[in-house]
Amino acid sequence: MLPLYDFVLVGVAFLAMGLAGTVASRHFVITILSIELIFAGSITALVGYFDYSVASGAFFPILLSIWAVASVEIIALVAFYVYMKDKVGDFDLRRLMQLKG
Amino acid sequence: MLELALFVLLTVVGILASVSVLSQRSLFKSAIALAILFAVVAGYILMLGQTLISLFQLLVLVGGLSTYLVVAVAAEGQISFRHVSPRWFSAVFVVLAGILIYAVAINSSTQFSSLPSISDEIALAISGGFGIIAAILFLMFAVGIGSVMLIKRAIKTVV
Repeated sequence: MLPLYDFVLVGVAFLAMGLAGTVASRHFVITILSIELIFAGSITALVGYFDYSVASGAFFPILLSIWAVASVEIIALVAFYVYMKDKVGDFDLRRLMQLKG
Repeated sequence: MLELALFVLLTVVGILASVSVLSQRSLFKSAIALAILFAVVAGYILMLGQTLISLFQLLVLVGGLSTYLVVAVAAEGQISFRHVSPRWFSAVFVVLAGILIYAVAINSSTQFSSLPSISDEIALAISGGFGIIAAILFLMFAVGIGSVMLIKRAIKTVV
């Protein structure tokens, strides 16, 4: 019998690791992957909490939103990766400031 | 007991995968570690009895996003660098994890302890046939990502 506490703690651990990666790295790709870690932690905690406390399936719209944002983020990652590789030649996050507009 | 063993196994694999995402020198290996982490999250969801959500998690995040990430970015092969400063990362992680776990812990006595806990969710999930479908999907994605690795190695050998 596993308590909800375990799932929330695991979600929090993933979330903290993602946040730490976001803060500790200036590399563009790693920052994006760290945000994906945050999403993974959020999904774990979200499904666990709603499964234990609220009617089953009530979390699906929120989960759908997280998946959508994660998908858009990966697509943006590929787009910016191609741009930075071709035009900038460096993956430092601060180089994105060079974008026009 | 089986449930606890499975949870511990998933947690160990998940923590190792998330550390690998940030510590691997090759972006290709980081992307594969991220795919493993998403599969671990799908395992957690399966443990909670949300079988259909678990399948969606596998299809969307492991099958779609991670494969796209591997094929589009990481398979190029020339990307190898130091990702994160280990000391800086460890310090920030300890502080953030401490704050977040404290925030969860102070609420645990009032909210979480009153909630029911699950026991037969895994058996229920597997008996519905979703566990087998999830396992087949996971194997298919593993074969897909493995194929990319082999093709990449073959191209490197030929060129």
